[in-house]
Amino acid sequence: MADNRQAIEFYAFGSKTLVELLNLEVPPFARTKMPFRQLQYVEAYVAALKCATVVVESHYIDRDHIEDHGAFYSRNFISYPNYCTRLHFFSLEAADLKQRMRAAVEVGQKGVAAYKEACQGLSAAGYLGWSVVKPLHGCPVGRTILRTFDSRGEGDYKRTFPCVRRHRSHLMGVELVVDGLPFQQQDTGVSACATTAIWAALHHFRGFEEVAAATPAQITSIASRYSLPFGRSMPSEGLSMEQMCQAIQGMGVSPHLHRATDFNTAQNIIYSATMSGMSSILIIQRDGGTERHAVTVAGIKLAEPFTPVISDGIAEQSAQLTGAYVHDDRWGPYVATLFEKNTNCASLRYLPRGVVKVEEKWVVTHILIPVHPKIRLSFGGLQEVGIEVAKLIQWHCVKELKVAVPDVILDGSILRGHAYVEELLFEKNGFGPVEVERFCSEVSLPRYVGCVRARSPLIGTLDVLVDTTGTVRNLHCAAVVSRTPTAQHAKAIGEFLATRLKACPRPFGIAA
Amino acid sequence: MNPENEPATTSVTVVESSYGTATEEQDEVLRRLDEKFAARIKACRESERLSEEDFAIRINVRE
Repeated sequence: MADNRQAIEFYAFGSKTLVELLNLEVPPFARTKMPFRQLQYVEAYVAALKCATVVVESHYIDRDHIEDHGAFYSRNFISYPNYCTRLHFFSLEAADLKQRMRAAVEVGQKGVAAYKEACQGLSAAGYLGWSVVKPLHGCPVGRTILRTFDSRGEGDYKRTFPCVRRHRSHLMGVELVVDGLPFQQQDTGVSACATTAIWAALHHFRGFEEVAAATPAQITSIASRYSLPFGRSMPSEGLSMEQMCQAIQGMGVSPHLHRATDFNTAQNIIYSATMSGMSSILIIQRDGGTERHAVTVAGIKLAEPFTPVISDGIAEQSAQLTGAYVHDDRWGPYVATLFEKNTNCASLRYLPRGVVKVEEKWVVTHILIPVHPKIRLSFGGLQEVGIEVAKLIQWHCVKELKVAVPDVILDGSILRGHAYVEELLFEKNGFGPVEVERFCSEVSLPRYVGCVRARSPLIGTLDVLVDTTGTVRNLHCAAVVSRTPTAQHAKAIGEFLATRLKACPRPFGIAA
Repeated sequence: MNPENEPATTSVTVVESSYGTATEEQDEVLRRLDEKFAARIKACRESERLSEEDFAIRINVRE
């Protein structure tokens, strides 16, 4: 009879290393000096989040591993189990944790709502996330979803993680939740870095669109369906950029690929995509070397306070981006990097933190963003639209209003139409219910709307909403919205833009 | 051909912009703005110009 009995053990974090806890042994031909570096990274990361207890779930079926097992490991001469171990990390002491878990289950007697509330309360109080440990000692770290760092930075910056979403796990009758972006290490059997980077980005994509979950085996298989430029697909020899695009397309998602031509353009695209909640894949090249790598952006570091630097009358809000938190399968999740100008290129500088002992520098050469197929307007195109809007504003100020050319701060994002309406309702400077009703009654928004936000003391904050199903050449402007109608020329510029861009005849947010 | 019927030749530069077409003589302000932002717009477009070499790049870093 197969042994699939469950065993749940509670351990004080730090009483043993995770390697000791899991009885991992270094494979005889391991090439790296730190064979368990990803696991050690996870250990150092949760330690920084003040982990107090590790709960080991001995029998866990992981979708990704069982697919990889079916595609690859089941055919090995030596048998590997098809199940994994799962580690849960808590910032609560074991006795306190057990008591709270028992209490949450007991609350279940009062109904589903009370149970869910108790579970969420427990998660918020001390759940840091989980890590699946595969029965492959050469690459043990499977699907790992951990809580992010706090948004407050230690110095003149803040952190934001728009590319995480809520994930659920179940332990001893308790439903636990954590907001994170999935990570796993490459196994070089089924996946290399390109596959795992796509896997993480697509996992996030599932948060707001219904696409099938892609496992590493599926991604590598789809990537290699029509082209095998480097020979066999498995063991994985890495992917070409074309294969990466094929894999994303094959999952029903559209691959938007950009060259990182210069620092400002790369900064703008990464900032806009991340703030739009789209996890981008950065293709990076070792500074002074030839090898290429792929990492997935989970969050970014923003200068705070931030003073935009005006150049030619325009400043980009994206200049606030000073760093990125990336999933790098050589290390672990949320690896802290600085986003820097290297001659005129953009580069990532890996900071020595935890198990990352040596500083590394990589040049960003390409940015690959998986987006919904309905989005045809690229982030580069959105940036171009922003510049045209700034030009229009400046032109009208000089020609019609007879005032000096105003400096304009530009910001661009792509968001769901309903999310923009919710933003109007909930954010400061938003609309009242009457104006929101008028907006929704008169404006037809596409599934995804491109929002160019222009700010200047003379005009306040103006949003130009464009239809992302079009391209720059045939772009439709849905509406112009003034977010600060009290600004001196908000009305004049709003009306001018609405007329010129053939949007709804009058701007929103401004009294007729 | 009668020279009077020949189309008149002009030295006007046509500036293409998102808000219509204006002539240099009509709108010096617009021309200056277009010139000022030409490099930025070119950079945006360049980022989407991909060659076969871009797609052939192999991504395969090992630990």
